[in-house]
Amino acid sequence: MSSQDVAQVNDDLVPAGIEPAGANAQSGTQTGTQTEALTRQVELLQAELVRAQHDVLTTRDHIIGLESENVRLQAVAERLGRRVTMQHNRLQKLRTKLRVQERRTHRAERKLKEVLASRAWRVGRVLTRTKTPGV
Amino acid sequence: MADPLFSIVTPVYNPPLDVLEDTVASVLAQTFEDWEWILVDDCSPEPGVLELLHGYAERDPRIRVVERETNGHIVKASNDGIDAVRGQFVALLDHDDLLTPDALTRNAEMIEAYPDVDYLYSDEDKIGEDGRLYDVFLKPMWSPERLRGQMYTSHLSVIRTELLREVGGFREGYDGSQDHDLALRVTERARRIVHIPEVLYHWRVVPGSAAADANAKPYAWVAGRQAVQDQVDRLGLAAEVDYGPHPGLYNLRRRLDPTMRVSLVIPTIGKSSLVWGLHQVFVVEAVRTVIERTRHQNLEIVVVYDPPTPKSVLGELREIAGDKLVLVPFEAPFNYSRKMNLGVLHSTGERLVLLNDDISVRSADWLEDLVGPLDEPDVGMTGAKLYFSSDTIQHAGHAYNRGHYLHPYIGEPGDSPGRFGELMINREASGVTAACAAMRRDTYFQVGGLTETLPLNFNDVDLCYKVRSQGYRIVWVATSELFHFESRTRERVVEAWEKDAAVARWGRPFNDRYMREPAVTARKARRSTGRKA
Repeated sequence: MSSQDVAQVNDDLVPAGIEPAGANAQSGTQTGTQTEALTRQVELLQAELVRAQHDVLTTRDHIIGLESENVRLQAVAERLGRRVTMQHNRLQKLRTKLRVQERRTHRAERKLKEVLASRAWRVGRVLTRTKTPGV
Repeated sequence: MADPLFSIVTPVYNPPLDVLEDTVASVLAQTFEDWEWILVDDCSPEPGVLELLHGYAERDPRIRVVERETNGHIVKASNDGIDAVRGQFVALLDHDDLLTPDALTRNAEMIEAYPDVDYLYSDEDKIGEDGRLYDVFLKPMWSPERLRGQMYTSHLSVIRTELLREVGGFREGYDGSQDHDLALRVTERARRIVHIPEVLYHWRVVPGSAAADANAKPYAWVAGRQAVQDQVDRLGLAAEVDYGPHPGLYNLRRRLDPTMRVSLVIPTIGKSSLVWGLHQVFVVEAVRTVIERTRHQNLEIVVVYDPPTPKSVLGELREIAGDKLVLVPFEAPFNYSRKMNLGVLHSTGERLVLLNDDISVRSADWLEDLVGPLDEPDVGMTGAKLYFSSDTIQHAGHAYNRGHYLHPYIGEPGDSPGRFGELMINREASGVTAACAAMRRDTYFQVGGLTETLPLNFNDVDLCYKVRSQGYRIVWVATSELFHFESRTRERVVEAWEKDAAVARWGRPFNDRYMREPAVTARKARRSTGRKA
C-alpha cells in the first residue's frame, strides 16, 4: 500500500457529521465566531486523532499478521528443509548402491568375455556344435 | 525401595468382588511398572473385600492396604490414602473403574516432556455391566471457565503429591463433588496443566451410580455449586454461582461495576425484513431490545451507518436511545472491518461489544454475563449464544476442524444440552462470531482490531486467532442469549481468496483442541462465513 493509498484510506475515516452522545441537546448552543473557530479546531484535531489511531490499529494488525505468517512459513521452510536433507541422503545412498551395482556388472561382463575367449569354451562349442547367442 | 513415580489411591467400600478384581487386574496390567497402590478399606461390611485386598498385597509388594476403623466416607478414606502415599504423583482411581494398560505410561511420558507439570487429566469413556465401552468424552484442552461450569477433567486425574498436600487434600463437606472441589483448588495453583487427548480410564456404570444417572446424588450438585462459588470468591470474581439446567452443571451470573462504561458498536445499512411475521428495521429492533433488556446503565451505543440508511431510521434510533446514541456515518465502499474499527475509534467505553444489527436481545443478563469474564486478565474475548428466529442454535462458539471454520451445533434445537452439557455452560472456544462479541478496549487495540484486509468474511476468525496468539483465552458464554437473523441483511457470498488469506496467516484449520472430533459432526457443522451487516 502506497502512502497515497494510506492517505486516501484515512480520508474515509473523517466522516462529516458525527453525532456524539447528547448532540441534540447541545446543538444551537455554540455562538460567537471565536467559539466556532475553536470548535472547528477541536473537530480537526479529533479527526487527526482518529486518523492516527486508525493507522496504529491497522499497522498493528499488519504486524501481527506478518509475524504469524512468518512463523508459519518458517515452520514450513524447516519442514521442507528436513525433507530436502532426507531426500539428499536417500539420493546419496542410491548413488552408492548404483556404483556398487555398476562395478558388479562390469566385473561380470569382464568375466563373461574371458570365458568366451577361453580355449575350453571354443572346444566345447565345437564338440557340442552349438552357437553362443550373440557371438 | 525408592519412591515410585505414581501412587494410585483408591478408597474401597463394599464393591462387588468380581468388579474389584477387574479393577485390580487393570492396575496389574500397567505397562509402566514404577507405581504403588494405596487401597483404603472404609470399613466394608463384606469381609471378602478385605481378604481379597490383603491377598493381592501379599502377592505384590507395590500394593498396600490401609484399614479404617470407622466408616468415614469418601473424603476421609481418600485423605487417609493421600497421607500414606510415597510417590511423586497421585493417580485417583475408584474401586470399580478400570485403567487402560497404557494409562500410567502415557502420564509418565507427559511428565518427562513437561517437568513442571502439576496436574494431568485425560479422556474417559464408560463401561457397562456387559463390558461394552461407550460415551467417549473427548475433553478440551485446559479450560478453566469450563471447569467452573462442570467437573470435566474428572477421570483420570493425576496430581503432583506436593501440591495435593499443599492444598490440604480433599475437603470435608463437599461429598459427591469432592473431586471437583479438589480440581478447582489444585488448578488454581498448578504451574502447568496438561491434557492427554487419549482415553485412559473406563468409568463403570452400575445402577444408582453417578455414571449412570446424574440425578443419583442430588447432594453432590449442592456441594459442587458451593465448590465453584468458593473458587469464584477466592479469585475475587464478581459473580454468583447458580445451578445449571441439569445436575452437575453450573452457571456464573456476573456482576458489572456500574461505573464501567460499555460501548456497543453496531454497523448498519438500515435494512428491514419480516421477522416473526412483523416488518422490522433490524438496527431499530436491535437497539430497542438492548435498551429494554439491559440493566447496566453506563452504556454507549455507537451506530456506524452507510448513506443508504433512511433518515427515518436514524430518527427512530435517536428516539429510542437518546443520549446513549453516537451516530457515525460511513461513506467508503463496504468494508465491515473498517466500519467496526471506525465505530470503536469513536467509542469511549473500556469494554467493547461488537454487535450485528440483525440481532435481538433474548436474556435479561446478557450484557453482564458477556462482559463480566473480561475482568479476568487472561480472557481476551467473549461470545454469546445465538439463536435463529426459529429458536434453533445459530452460534455456540467456532470450531476449526477438517480444514474449515465451523459453527458446531448449528440448527440444533435451542434447548439441546449438547454433548456433555457443552451448550449449557460457559466454556473456552477457539473462536466466537463477531455478530456478538465483547473485548476489553486495550485488547482490541493490542491485536489491531478487525483486519481490513478481509472486508466481509472470516475477519472474526482472524480476530480470534489474533486474540489467542497474544495468549488470551476466548470464552463462549451460554447465558448471554440473543437472536440472530443471519443473512437477511446481505447476500451471503464467500470468495475463495478470503479463506486463502486467513489460511495464509494462521495455517489450515484442523484438530480444534476445544471442540474435538467427533463432537463436531460433518453433517451438522457448517462453514462459518463471518458474514456481517
